[in-house]
Amino acid sequence: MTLKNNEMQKIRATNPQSGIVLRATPISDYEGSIRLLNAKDEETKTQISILQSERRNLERSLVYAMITRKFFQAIDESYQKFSREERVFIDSILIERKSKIEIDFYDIPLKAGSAQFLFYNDVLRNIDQIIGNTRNQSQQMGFMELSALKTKITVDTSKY
Amino acid sequence: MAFRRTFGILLAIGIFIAAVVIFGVLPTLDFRKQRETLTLIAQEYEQTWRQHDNESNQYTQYARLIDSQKSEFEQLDAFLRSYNLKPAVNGKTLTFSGEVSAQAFSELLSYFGNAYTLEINRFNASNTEKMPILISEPKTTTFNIRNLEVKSIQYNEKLSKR
Repeated sequence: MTLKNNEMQKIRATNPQSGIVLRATPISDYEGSIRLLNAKDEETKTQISILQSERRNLERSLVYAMITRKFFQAIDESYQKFSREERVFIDSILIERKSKIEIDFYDIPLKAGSAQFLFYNDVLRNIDQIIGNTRNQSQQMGFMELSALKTKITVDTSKY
Repeated sequence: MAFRRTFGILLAIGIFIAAVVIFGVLPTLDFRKQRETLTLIAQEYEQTWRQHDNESNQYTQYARLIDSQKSEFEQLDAFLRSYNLKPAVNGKTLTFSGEVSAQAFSELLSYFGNAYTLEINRFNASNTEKMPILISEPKTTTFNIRNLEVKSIQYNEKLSKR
């Protein structure tokens, strides 16, 4: 009996978390200890599975929030950068979760004859660098004596 | 006579060996097996526990991040109301439809550009002007927002170590 007890104490000491669980069983009860640890192991694995699933959901939500945040940040930063050179006219913004973010705007350089479209190039580069999955459609047109670029930038967010 | 004696001795030896096997060897073998099984299960449980601890710590870190920005949702509600807009709040989901000034729209976009824990599920906004308003024209434009739905990211408090 002493040998069994000693061996049990060694096992509990070497594996502290198991030792905590095994406090609920008598020190000489090997079969009961095996049953209890098996049950606790299964229960903990189930909890891990729940935690992993919840963590992935949280990560997906946080990444999606980051995408929308960076999208609007990119627009704001580019707008601030070029507000003296260009006029930006937002026509529409569309966001659909698990689908896309889309902005439709006109970029109009204030300097006659200029067709640089600094805002458009900057915002497109920023969005593409930060988020990726970007498509864009542009159409240049005459607007009064100025040039205007009508653009639609779409970010694919179907994975989030 | 000699045969019966020999038989008796052999029988006694046999009984002795059987007793040793039954009461000595078999329980020892059985104990060894139980000890090995328990050791293996205990080692496996240690690994399982560590994995659970890691997962739990990671989840708690996300929970702390969300908690650190938890006022974003209420601030969004307050921001819209500061422009006399009336968003509908249901739990941690805010919905709004209506016309807003260019100033409010611009601030709303800036607000979204700083939000860490807001999920914009739906947002459909369009300028009420058909074409770009004339450069330097004093007229201010408005935006029509349809179906803005913003949700505050929530975590399961039971899974967090807080």
